[in-house]
Amino acid sequence: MPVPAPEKGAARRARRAARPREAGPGAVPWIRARLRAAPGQALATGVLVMVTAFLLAALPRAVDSYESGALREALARAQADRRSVTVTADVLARDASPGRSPVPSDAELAATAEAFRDVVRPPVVPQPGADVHGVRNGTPAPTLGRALPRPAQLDPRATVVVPPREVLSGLRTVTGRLPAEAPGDDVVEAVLTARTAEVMGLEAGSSVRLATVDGAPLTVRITGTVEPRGPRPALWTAVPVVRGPAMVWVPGRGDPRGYWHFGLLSGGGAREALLRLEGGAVAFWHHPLRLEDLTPDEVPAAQRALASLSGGSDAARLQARSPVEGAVVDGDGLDALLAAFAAERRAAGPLVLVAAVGVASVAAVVLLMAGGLAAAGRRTETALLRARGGSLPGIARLLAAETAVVAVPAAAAGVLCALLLVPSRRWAAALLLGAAVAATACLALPLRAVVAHRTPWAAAREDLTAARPSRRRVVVELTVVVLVAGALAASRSGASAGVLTAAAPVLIATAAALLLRRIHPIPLRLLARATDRLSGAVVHLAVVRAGRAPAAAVMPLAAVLVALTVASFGGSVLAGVADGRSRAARAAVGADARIEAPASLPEGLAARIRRVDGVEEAAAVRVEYGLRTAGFSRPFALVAVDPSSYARLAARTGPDGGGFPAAALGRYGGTGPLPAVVSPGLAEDLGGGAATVATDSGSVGIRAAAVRAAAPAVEGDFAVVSAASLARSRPDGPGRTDGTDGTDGTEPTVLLVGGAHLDGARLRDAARGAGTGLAVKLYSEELARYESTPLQTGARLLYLAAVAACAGYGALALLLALLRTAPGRRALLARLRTMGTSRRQAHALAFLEALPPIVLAAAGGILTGLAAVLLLRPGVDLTALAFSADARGKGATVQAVLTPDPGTLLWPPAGVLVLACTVLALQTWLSGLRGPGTELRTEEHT
Amino acid sequence: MTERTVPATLADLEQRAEAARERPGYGQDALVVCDRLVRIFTAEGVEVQALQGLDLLIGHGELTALVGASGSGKSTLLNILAGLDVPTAGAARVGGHDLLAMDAASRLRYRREVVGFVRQETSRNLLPYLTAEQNVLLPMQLAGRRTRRRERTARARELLDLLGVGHCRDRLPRHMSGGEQQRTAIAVALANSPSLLLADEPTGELDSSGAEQVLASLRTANEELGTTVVVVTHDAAVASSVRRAIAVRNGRAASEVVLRSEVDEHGAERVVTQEYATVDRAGRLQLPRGFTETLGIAERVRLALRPDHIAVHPDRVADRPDRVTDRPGGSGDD
Repeated sequence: MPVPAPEKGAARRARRAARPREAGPGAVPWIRARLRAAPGQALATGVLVMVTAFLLAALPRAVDSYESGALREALARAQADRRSVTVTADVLARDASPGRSPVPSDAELAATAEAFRDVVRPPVVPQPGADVHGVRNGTPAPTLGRALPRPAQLDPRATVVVPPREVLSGLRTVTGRLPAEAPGDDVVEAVLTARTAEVMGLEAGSSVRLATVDGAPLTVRITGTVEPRGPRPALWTAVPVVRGPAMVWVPGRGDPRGYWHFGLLSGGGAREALLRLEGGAVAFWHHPLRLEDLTPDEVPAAQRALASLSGGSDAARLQARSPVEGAVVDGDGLDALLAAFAAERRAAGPLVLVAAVGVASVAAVVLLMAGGLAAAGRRTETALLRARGGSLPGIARLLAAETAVVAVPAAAAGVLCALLLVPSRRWAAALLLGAAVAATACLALPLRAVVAHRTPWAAAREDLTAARPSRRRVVVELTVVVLVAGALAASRSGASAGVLTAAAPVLIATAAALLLRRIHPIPLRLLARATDRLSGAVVHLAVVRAGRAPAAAVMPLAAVLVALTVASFGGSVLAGVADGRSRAARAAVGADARIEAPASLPEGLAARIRRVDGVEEAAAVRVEYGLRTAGFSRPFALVAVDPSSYARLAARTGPDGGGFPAAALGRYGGTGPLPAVVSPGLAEDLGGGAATVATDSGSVGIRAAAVRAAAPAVEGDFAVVSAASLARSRPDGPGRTDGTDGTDGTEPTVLLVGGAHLDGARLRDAARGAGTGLAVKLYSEELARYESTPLQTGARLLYLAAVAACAGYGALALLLALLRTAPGRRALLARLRTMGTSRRQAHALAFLEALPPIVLAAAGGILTGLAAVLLLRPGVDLTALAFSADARGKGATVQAVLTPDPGTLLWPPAGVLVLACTVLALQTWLSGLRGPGTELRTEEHT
Repeated sequence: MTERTVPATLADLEQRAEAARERPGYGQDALVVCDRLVRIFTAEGVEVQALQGLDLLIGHGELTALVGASGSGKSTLLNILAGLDVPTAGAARVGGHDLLAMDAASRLRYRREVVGFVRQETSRNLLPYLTAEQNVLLPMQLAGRRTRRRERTARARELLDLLGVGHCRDRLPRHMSGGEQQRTAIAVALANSPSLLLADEPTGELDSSGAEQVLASLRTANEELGTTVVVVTHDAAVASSVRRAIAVRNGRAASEVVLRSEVDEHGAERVVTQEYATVDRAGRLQLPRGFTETLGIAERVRLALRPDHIAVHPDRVADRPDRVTDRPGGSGDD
């Protein structure tokens, strides 16, 4: 039957009208009603969002802040010449065309300086008005005559500087006058500073003769002394020798020798005379840079600009624009400084990223969990909305609006606090993270509520024990497992740390949380079966109830587990750093203090040291380095000790906690190879046999009597023999091959001192009293030497903050979980009271019912923390955090690795348990106050 | 009762088909049509047949009660009619909407515009943080029809006044008595002018006066607004005050009690209750337990067609078919 036309139109209109349209803001003041109905929850949500937004927004700013501080300190500590760029140009005699002098004039030099200022690119910015230029001789010219001080019979050398006219006239004349401008004949006038005059014994009127290439000496007449008017004049920084003479040491044998190097300031007339000096004339430009505004992010750009100036496009542009040919830019000092900073930043970067990702993940998990709990609590309400005709997007919009009214201002407040309290220039990342926090908080509740109502009819029983996991859940779990495997593989293979490797601890914790959700009922079921024969009903009931808890009750405990794991990982990083430093210091010193003499310890040193306060042990040993057994290439150190004192020392301070087998060294008859305690590598070389080794006291045979992994006072491979046995092995005295020091090669060279609180000053005094040339090293001082750069200190503080934040979030997740189940618990207690259980029994039941999941979560947190440390240890290198670049460069070979830290492994879970018990006790006491009648009058809770 | 088959021509068959098409279908002008409705719940290997082929016809503007013991399937039927559950088999049509073939959008439209639902627990009918008037406004707002706010507010007040809870307009639910809460819930259910109002034991939590008020409101809704009302109850007072009470037994509609007013010999109007047994489309009939137990009816009955009724005789031991001489369906007892 064909549909007549008007009916078709009506059908279309009906269809259009029937399409569900969403309502705009209607007459129901939803937000106001909700806020009035649950102000406490809104306040709590607001506080949580504000704190989280503050933490996450402050994170990038804190990182930037300490990086900037580190850069500023590095720049401030650097010497002035590293904070500037120097341009030099060798002046070769140019063709003397009319109007052009052989040496560049002041105007040309100024033009070149101007060209440099044009060419240089930001972030390399020259300080305005601080640059200085001039001409000087290329190499210091030797003086002639014997009038000047000659400490080692070496002639002093002079550098003659010709600054621009205005710089010279800007100096304050102390005595005499400034040098004349006009070119004279062979005599050149110059001035010098008072200090130079004092040291070199010159004054106004004296002359200095300088050697020239053409043989005829150049006479420089001193016309006066000058002082700069202001502090730190640019010329003094550009040519430091002008300020005062410096002693230049000449390498050689015997006593050190050197000569004086001093500077003279001359007028414009000396320019051409400089050409006659050895090394010719060099035009120089000194541009101090304005580096206060340099941020760590601009460092790569600065490096690029410097590289371009040194040999790239900018160098070509400078040469093209400069009237002086051959201008070469040298920024190596600054470049090296920036490169060192960039390298440290790069090394510490991945570790900081791990901490940041950890905290951000834990915060996100807790926010999502709070939203999920809230959604679970409002299940009936959203079901009602759905039944009254609310569409899923409409309900989501209502819930999102209600949360956004609280969350968005709170997030804004948190971000504002971060912007105000943490000084930094980086704001984009902070804003982005704050917005992400607000979005997560706004969307968690609506999405969770809407997902639960996708199907219109009620779900089956939600018991944990009976629920068969859906396929979607299996897919999610497998995805997480794959991600974890990928992250572990990436971190172990040493690939560059992307976000995946940075998220490795969080991924491991997530996998453990999913595992906990799966196996959570099993121990409870076992416990239920074990307790069902008990005479009282309370324990069994509690365990059974714990097993029947809805799945929503386990979700917050998964969040607790993630938080505990990340906190313990952070703690293990800090512990690893401390442990690495301690091991490095121990390896460098060997005991609590070490006194080393180049040839042999002076007489009576041991006795004097033993008398110093705080010294408990002193063992004198002889260490010879770099020995090799015949036929094997591995160098080792031979240590001749007194076994008993050495063993005592090893027990105190040894790397492997003592257990040094002194007895193995004792049995020696006098013939044959000496028994020695050797390192594993050397034992491998010896292979059970004996070998001869050439020591300072002659050759001696050794065999391996015991193997230890490490011994005090030595690093690497070693062989420890008894000094007495060594002496006995040469009944006819030692045959020393090299007798220059007057020793016989058997005396101890190192005194190892053990004591709890050693005073370095007193030890040094005692050592000085015994002899000279002794080097005293203290373990505490070595450890203090590893005191970090601001970069490392900042990173370590960040880790501390991350640990604290994660522990706090874990406690918060637990609190939320307990608060969520509080109404059900109160109703349970009331019903139990009506059934006739005593108050004590009822409270015990409520207590025991809530505890098993929390205990499981805490235990899971400890195990997962340990597992994360063990799994990630090969891949995470903490050396960048433990030792600064200088210490690394000086050869601290100890590697800092993740070390399980008992503090952060055990204290947070214990804290969680204590908190849970406290809150549970408080809740049961409060419900006892109200009485069962009041509880039961209110509606169905669970 | 055999018919003699006559070979049919094609024209005969066409005529018969046309006649069948023009004959009114089952439940043509009824609002609620349930045709052999089946709902089976499966949980952990246990199967529960809540509805076993239920036939039901409810016309426009009727005030009907569904009564039955617990477990008889009446709440399941209500959930299906409200669009909150989907039947396993059979057909259910409410106001032209086929309840088995609805997608999410049409189900949403159905919940908004065709049906209103009132539950037993007062807390699940109203949002505790909105006043009565705001609760009534909420479904209107969620439906998103283009009505102005003033009109909506006027309609909300009108509904509340009609049901006698106008004085509770600005009160929160916890400040209202049980009866007032349920009447507000009825107003909420009527907010979008549904064709069908479903109430699941609305008087279950109330005392007798409250129950009386709720019943009066339902009757008002039915009479003033013309809404078809179906009340599920096991309260005898409710069942006796509606015009038609359908008893559901073992997942099927078993019997009905209908109130009819008639004029007796003195000219006075009298309300008479008449109890009927429901006959489904296949002609099946459920005999009341009282009847079957009294007569000892077990497996078989004998039927006899009389001019104006059907006689149902129990299967006597003497009439067992092992006596060969008797004809089956034989002599009646009277």
